[in-house]
Amino acid sequence: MAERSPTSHSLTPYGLSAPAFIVCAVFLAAPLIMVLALSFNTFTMATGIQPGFRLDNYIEVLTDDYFHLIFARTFGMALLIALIAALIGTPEAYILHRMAPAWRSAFLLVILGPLLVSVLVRTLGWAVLLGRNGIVNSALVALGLADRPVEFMYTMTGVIVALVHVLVPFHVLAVWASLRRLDPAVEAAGLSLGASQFTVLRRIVVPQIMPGILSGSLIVFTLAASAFATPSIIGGRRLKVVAVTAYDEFLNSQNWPLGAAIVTVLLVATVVIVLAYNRAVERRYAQVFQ
Amino acid sequence: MAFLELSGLIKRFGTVAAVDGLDLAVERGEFVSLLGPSGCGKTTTLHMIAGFVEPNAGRIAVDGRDMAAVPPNRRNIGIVFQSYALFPHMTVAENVGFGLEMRAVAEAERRARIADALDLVRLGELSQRFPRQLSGGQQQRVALARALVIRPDLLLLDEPLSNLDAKLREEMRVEIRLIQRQVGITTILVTHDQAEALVMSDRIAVMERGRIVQIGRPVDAYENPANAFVSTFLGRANLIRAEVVGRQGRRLRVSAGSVEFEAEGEAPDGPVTVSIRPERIGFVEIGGIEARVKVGLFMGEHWLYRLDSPLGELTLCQPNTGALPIADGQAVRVAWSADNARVLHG
Ligand SMILES: Nc1ncnc2c1ncn2[C@@H]1O[C@H](COP(=O)(O)OP(=O)(O)OP(=O)(O)O)[C@@H](O)[C@H]1O
Ligand SMILES: [Mg+2]
Repeated sequence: MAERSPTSHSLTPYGLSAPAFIVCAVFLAAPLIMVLALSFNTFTMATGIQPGFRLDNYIEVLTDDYFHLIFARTFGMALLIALIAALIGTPEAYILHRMAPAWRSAFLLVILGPLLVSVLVRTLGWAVLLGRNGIVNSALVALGLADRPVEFMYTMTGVIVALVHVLVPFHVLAVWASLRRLDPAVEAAGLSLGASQFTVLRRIVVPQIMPGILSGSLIVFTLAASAFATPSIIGGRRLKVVAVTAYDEFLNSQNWPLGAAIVTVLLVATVVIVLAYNRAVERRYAQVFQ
Repeated sequence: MAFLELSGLIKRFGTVAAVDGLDLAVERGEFVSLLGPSGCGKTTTLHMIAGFVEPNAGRIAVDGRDMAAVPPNRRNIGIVFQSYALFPHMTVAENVGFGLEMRAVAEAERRARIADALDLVRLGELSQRFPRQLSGGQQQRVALARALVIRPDLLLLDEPLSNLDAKLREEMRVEIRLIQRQVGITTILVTHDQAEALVMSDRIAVMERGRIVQIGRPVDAYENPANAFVSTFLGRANLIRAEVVGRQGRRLRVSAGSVEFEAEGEAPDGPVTVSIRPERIGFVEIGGIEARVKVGLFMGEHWLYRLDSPLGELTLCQPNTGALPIADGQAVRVAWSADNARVLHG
């Protein structure tokens, strides 16, 4: 302790985090800055990409109704998915929490299953299931629940079903983490004071895991808002979301600057939503956050 | 018939029996402590009474009513958990009022009863704080108020003082005892702190491996320990292996090593264990047995001496009168009266 000089002491953390810092700088910050720079360039069919610093692309994205619709669709869909994932994932996490340890690890694997499968395989799987002659529709018709096949492919319903499936695990993990911090005696205390099991859940458990529910929803929301593969395969080109639109600008129209501007707006909008949400949540749940 | 009756309670976790045939009868208004080492089944017993854990066998009756079919939220039992288990997202007043709300007590009466309960534990002015803004001792008193305010038939306290510092713990012992007397509520305290059990209880039940090995008033349990385990768990004791060599009524003549002395108790001829409390041994000028001071430990109000003697190592406790302590290594003579040497069963 005594021989450790103050300079080496204060430099150690920087030295240790340097490799991670370099990786982040090269592979995250640099591309982001390049995308940002690109978004201020201009593009025409005739001339291609022209360097410069103009706000044309942003003005287009922010004023054109076409883009308004796409952004509204994307965030609306993400919100709905976050809501559904919370409604499914929260009880799922609680059930997992109450299971015997042996069962719990088995079911945890089942819940995390969707994350272990490649996004493309999983999405194509959903396409097979949800198709006009897919298993879901055959079952619905056979059971008499529908008189003709329900349209899932190229509909919002299909996109939401497939995205909820893969994003629920994130919500479950977030809620489960906060459930594990719960003192089991607190539930017992609620019972001993005369509350029913349901009242204990509603009045004692849920308020305490609210931060977990809210942060799980935030994760699901941001992942849903930036999802690409699932909306593009299941939603197709009729139900474009922001990520798909940006992809098309880059690769189909070759309009890289506009694509870059779309991506930048998506990123900024998401970051603003995340920060605002976090502040609101932290203020509201200050006493639970300790 | 006693107010609370536990008979033949058994609880197994896997193959180990946490509680292994426990019988206990507690009178109305009585304060009984369950005292025992870690893992002897105290918490499990308490949780069976409260209904959180279902016994494998045995009967729990409160006021003559079998509790087996009564769920925990209908038992009207107040419980203070070792971890306090306050609701962190509710204020002190909301915590205390929760049980009243569940009983659909009207708003006005609820407020009055919350105020009374908080006054009882001297926390009136902190009612709008959240639990994390309170000290350990204050949280513990909130937990106590929360359990008392519902006017439970039975109060269960699971090591409620174990997280407090020594001074606060001593104050709270007295405070809980006074509140319990004032409210007149039947109480069971779980503890592994013998001083706590001695100070607070009407009766102490000493537990070992899932059973009660002795139950009685604190003085009786201390003076007449049922076996070697109780004598070392309740206070300190010198345990001496000896042989009964003669008898006259309850006064036995025993021999240990090269020494013969008299002891009190009942035992057949043969090997026995004799227990002598350290504070009942004194230094003498003549007579007694020879010994040598190994080390003298200063404990504040008394000195604790470790002695080498023909009976093996002896511990001796002397009040600190301000006189010069006896130096380490010094040869001394020690003695005790025959009444204070107790022959133990087993
Ligand atoms: N849920 C459980 N599953 C398995 N074993 C348990 C469980 N609860 C308690 N036990 C075991 O039962 C025994 C008694 O436990 P209990 O908690 O009643 O002890 P205790 O007397 O309260 O101890 P302490 O003073 O440490 O709190 C211990 O051996 C413990 O390991
Ligand atoms: Mg315990």
